[in-house]
Amino acid sequence: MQPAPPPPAGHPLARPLIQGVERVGRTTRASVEELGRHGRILGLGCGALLHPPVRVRHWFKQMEFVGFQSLSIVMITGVFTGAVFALQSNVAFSMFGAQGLVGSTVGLALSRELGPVLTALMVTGRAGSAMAAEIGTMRVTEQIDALEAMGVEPVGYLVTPRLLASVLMVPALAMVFNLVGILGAWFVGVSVLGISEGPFVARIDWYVDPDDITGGLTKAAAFGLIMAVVGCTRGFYTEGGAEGVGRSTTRAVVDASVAILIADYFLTSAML
Amino acid sequence: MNERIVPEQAAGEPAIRIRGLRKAFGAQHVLQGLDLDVRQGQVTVVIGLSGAGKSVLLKLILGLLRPDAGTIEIDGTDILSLPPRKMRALRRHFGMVFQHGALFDSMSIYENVAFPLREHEKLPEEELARRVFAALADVGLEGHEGKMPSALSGGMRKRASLARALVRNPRFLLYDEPTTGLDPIRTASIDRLIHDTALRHPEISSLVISHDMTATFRIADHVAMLYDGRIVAEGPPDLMLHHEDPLVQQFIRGELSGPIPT
Repeated sequence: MQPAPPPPAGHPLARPLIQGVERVGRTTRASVEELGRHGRILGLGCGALLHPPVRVRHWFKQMEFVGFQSLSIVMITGVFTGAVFALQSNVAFSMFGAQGLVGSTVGLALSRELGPVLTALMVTGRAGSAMAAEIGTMRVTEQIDALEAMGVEPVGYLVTPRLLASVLMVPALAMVFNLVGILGAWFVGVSVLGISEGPFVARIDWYVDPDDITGGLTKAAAFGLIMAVVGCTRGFYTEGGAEGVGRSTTRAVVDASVAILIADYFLTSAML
Repeated sequence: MNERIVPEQAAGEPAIRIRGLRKAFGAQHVLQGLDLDVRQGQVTVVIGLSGAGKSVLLKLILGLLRPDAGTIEIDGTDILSLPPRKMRALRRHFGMVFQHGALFDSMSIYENVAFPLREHEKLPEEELARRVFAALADVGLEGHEGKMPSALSGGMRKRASLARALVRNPRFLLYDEPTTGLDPIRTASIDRLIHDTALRHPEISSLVISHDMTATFRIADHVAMLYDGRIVAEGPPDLMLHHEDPLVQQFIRGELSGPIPT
C-alpha cells in the first residue's frame, strides 16, 4: 500500500482548495498519460506497416479471428435488429397509412447508423475484449518481454495485424449486418405484417443512396480502428497479474464502446 | 557434474561491463551505483534478497529499461548510446531464460523454439527443423516438441525456454531465477543443465540471477552479491563461501540475526 500523501501546507481553510487542485492535477496527468499511450500504440502500430518484416500470415489469422469468427454474432444481431425495427416503425407509419416506408426507413437507419455502430459494439465485446485479454496475459506472463529480448518489436508483432484486421473486417461485417438486417425487416414487414413487397423493396432502392452505404462503412472502419487501438493499448499496459488482465479487459470494452459512440456523433456531423 | 575450470585470471576481458548503474522507480531507488563485470565464458551469478533489483538489472542489460545514470558496455560498446534499431539487433546475441519460462502459450514447443529462427533467419524448413531438434536435444526435451506449454511441468517449461534461448547460438545467456518454484530434484536438474550448457558452449558468457544458494554454488564461476542497490561483495564461489563480510555470511547461511533486517 502506498503511504498517504503528507497534508498540504498553508492555512487550514486553504487545504480543501489545495487538495482539490491536486486531485484535478493528478486526474489531468493520468488522462494525458492515457492519451499518450493510445497515441504511441497507434503510431508504432501504423509505423510497423512501413518496415519489414511483413507478417502476412498473422494478418490473415487476425482477419479470420475478427471477421469470420464474429460473423454469427453479427448476423444474429443484424437479423433481429432489422426485424424489431420493422415492427416499431410499422407502429409509427401505420398511424398515417405509410407502411410502405418501413423498408426504406430500416434500410437508411441500418446503412447510416445502426449497421456500423451495432457491428462495432458487438465486435468490441467479442474481439476487442479478447485483444486486451490476450495481450494483457502476454504482458503479465513476460511473453512480451520475451519478444523484446529476442529482438522482435512487440507492437509490430502484436498490434499491427490486429489494427489492420479490425479496420478491414469491421466494415465488411457492417455490410453483412446491413444485408441481414434488411432481410430481417423484409421477413417481418412482408410475411408477418403484410406490407406489399413491391413498395417495400422499391422504396429501399429509392431512398438508400450509395453514399449512405459508403459513409456507414467509413465510420465502421474508424470504429474498428478505435476498438483495436483501445483493446491493444489496454492489454499492452496491463499490470498486476490475473486481476490486472480482468481489469484491462473490462476497461477495453467500456472505453472502446464509449469512444465509438462519441466518435459516431462527430463523424456523423462531419459527414452531413 | 564434470568440473569446469575457468579460473578468474584465465577468463577473458569483461564481455559485459557495468559501471555506476542507477535506477529508481518513483521514490524507490532500486540500483544505486552498481558496478559489475561479466567475464567472457564464465557463469556469473548475482545473488541478493527478493526485490533487491536483480531482475531490473537483467532488463537494463537487455535495454528493456533505461537506467537513470551509469554505463553498460557490451564488448566495449556503450549500449545506452545505441538507437532502438541497433539495440534490437544487439539483443539477437542474447538468450534469455525467464523465471517462469515465458513461452508463447498459443504455440507448440517446436514453434516456440523455432520462433527466433523464423523471425531473424530465412532458413529452409529442413534446416530450421534440424536446429530446433538439436536445441531440444541439448536440453533433454526430445519427443516433447508437439506439446503445448500448458502440458509441461515447470522444469520442462524452463528447459524449453533454454532451448529457445540457445537455438540461435547466442553469445550471452541471461537466466532470471531459473530454479524458482521447482522441487529439489528439478532444481538439481536445471542446475546441471546450466552447468552442462556452459561446458558445451564455452563461447557463451552467462549471467544468472538467483537467491538459491545451493544452485549458486553448483553452477557459478563468479558470485556477486547485490544489496542496497550495489554489489557489496564478489569473487569465486569458494572465496564467497568464506567471505568475512557479515552481510554475505548472513545471506549465504540464511540466518535471521545479522545486519540484514528480517
